[in-house]
Amino acid sequence: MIHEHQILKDLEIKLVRNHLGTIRQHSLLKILFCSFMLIFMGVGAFAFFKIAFHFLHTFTLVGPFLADRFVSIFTYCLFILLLTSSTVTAYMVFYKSDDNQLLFTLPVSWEALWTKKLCEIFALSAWAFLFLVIPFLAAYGHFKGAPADFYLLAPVYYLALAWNACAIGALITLLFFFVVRKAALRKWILWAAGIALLVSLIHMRPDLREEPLSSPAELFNRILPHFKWSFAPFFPHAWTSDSITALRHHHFSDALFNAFLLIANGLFFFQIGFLTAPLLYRQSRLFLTEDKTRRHRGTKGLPVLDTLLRWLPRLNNAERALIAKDIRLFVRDPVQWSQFLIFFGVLAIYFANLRTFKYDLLIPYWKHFIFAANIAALLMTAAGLNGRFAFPLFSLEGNRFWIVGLSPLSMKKILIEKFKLWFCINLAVLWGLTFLSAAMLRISPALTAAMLVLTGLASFALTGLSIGMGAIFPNFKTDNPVKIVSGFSGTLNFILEFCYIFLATGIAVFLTHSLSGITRAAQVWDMNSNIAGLVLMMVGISLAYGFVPLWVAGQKLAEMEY
Amino acid sequence: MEKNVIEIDRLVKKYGATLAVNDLTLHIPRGELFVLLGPNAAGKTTTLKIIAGLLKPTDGTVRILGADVVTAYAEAKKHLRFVPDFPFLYDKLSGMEFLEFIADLYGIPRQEMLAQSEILLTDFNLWDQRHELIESYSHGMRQKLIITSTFLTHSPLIVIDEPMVGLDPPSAKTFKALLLQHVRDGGTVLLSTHTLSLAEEVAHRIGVLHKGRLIACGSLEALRQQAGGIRELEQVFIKLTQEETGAPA
Repeated sequence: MIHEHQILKDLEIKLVRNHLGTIRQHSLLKILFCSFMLIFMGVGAFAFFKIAFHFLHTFTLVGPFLADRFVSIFTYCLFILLLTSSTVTAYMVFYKSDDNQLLFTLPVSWEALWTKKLCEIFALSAWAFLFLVIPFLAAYGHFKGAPADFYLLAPVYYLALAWNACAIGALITLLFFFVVRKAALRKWILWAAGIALLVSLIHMRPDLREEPLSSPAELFNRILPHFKWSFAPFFPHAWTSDSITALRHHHFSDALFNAFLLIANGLFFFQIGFLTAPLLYRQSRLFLTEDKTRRHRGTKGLPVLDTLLRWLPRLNNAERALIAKDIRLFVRDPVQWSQFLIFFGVLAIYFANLRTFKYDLLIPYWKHFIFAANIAALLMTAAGLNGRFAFPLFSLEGNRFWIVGLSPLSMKKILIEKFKLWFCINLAVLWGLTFLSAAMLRISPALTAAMLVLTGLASFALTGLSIGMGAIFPNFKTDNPVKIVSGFSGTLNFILEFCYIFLATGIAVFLTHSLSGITRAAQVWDMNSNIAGLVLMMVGISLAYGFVPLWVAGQKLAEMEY
Repeated sequence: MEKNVIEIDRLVKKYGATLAVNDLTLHIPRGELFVLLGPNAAGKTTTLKIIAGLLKPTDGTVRILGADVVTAYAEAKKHLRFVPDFPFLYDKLSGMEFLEFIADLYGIPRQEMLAQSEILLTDFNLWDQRHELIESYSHGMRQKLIITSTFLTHSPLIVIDEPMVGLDPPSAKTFKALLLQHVRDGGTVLLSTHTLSLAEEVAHRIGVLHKGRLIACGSLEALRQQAGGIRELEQVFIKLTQEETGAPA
């Protein structure tokens, strides 16, 4: 048994070593950009947490108490987050990993597989550690003037907490798939859990909607009771947060006791999984495979889509077929539409709740500030998704060149059709959400119209840039969109998008500020020349962003050999 | 010592209402190279996956050297090397690292592994690329590496699904020679393929699976007799499967 654990450990070490070795094969631009973003996010999180601690400290008498409560709430939220993410990750690692079929047929015990998979889940939870825990602990330690040993010991507690969350999450996943064997029943249970979560969130809402708040302290009085679980002494998050405050005060005996609790608890859940793996893991995997192979993925097609496309003017059959194919592939690929739904769905829920938070009653300055920030968030999301999904479209098509490339459509035409389709999708989503945000904040029609023009231009620019860059730098060697996006050209595309958004956000802020007094659309025509010049510049840049990459791509495609 | 390496008795596999494998009984003795033929969706891959323990039978039993693949899976898979039609390889390992990993799992001493790998990789013209990452390998190179790892382990039973895809003619020849050497050494091979020439060349016995049922089983000569004396295996195959379907030959 020890022997196979050692072999699997060696395998992982080699994989990580080789993976790190291939980093230098990536473009320098990408490495620099990723390093910059990593530092930016780390420093940004540190600054955010530090400001939060200073803000809490402004409350006389209760300030220090609130800071420690903040540690408890942070740790509690982190634990819930890790628990949730590890249950999902466990599903992917236990049942969907590419290497499963190989490992299952090799002479490796289920106990060793459980250990290997759990370590993978633990490693995948490192994001929380990197982006949340380290900046948080640094900010807390700095704010409280903690001793040097605090910075060495405190992260270890969060690692132990993460291990606990991963072991529990992995066991929950194995048990769920072992007990609930029917796919339909699993779906119903997940729906029920989702509804229960929604109801519990709604249950929290009335307190936030009560008005008026006499002081910020009252807000804490309303919020803190909802986090009473963060202080429950029988849970790993409470042991961790208690240890953090104990370490700061040099109460090492308390911290050591909690460390033993965390380790014992983590090993206990690991051992349960270890002992039951031959039953839970093997059987649940077999049930799931049965379900997967049983499911006949029949489809009735998308009749609405066909009807809709028939109505569209000036499209020949080949163009219509190309668009229909792209939409079908998008709709039938849960990875694509779920990311769209999650990112834009979260924004839509937030926008729809703007009145719940009474943002529409704020003074115009803040109201317009929030509106501009919403537009910036919207554009950032659109840029991310365009870079992720629109950019690799042409490369993926090129890989299937024998299907589309040999069709009666020219490659230039294919490029333009892809641009049109994604432009329409972007425009519909961006306009819909801009309008929702404006309506909920009760923004004037003039400013709403100006922002609709801005997001319309952004749709054009971001789509043209992503589709064009994807065609200028095609990668026909892989079918994996993530690999296509993560190359030099994908990074360059993202940087260019980032620059555009930076500019667009600046103009959005300027426009909201300048047009805040205008209540009628007709007054827009009376804008001063500075605003007109700025708008014209935005139009020019947007058109250049959209047209130039498409034009260059068109030229390149005419010369390209496949 | 068990006479039969694989013993499949009254095996049934259902996916909902669909019957993928229907009452299959098949015994494959030591030292035999058995080729499973059949049209698409005949149940070949399902049968192989049940033998490999990746799927659970709905009914019936499958034993490898006496060990039941359901109740004594750990014991059964010690004797088995399964190569699926789309095998997975770790992209971020080099070819040699992958072979080391497999050899370690099967307890093959390092010196023996190195010596064997050199012979096999040289035969497959892959020796010079052994330290390159697998992600840079072509489909054929990956297939050769998988085959090398399979023969490295000296498993008594080798189960392979569609092994010839992507192999160039010299490698295909090497592969066939390895298969025959393995059975001469007392090993057993169960192979599923659409490449009828491979079956003609190497099979001791051929089984034709159609709609989950074993409609014919025996030596190439026996199958020819069953099909009314037709010589070409391709014609034999078409006749047998069409007779089952009721379509005109």
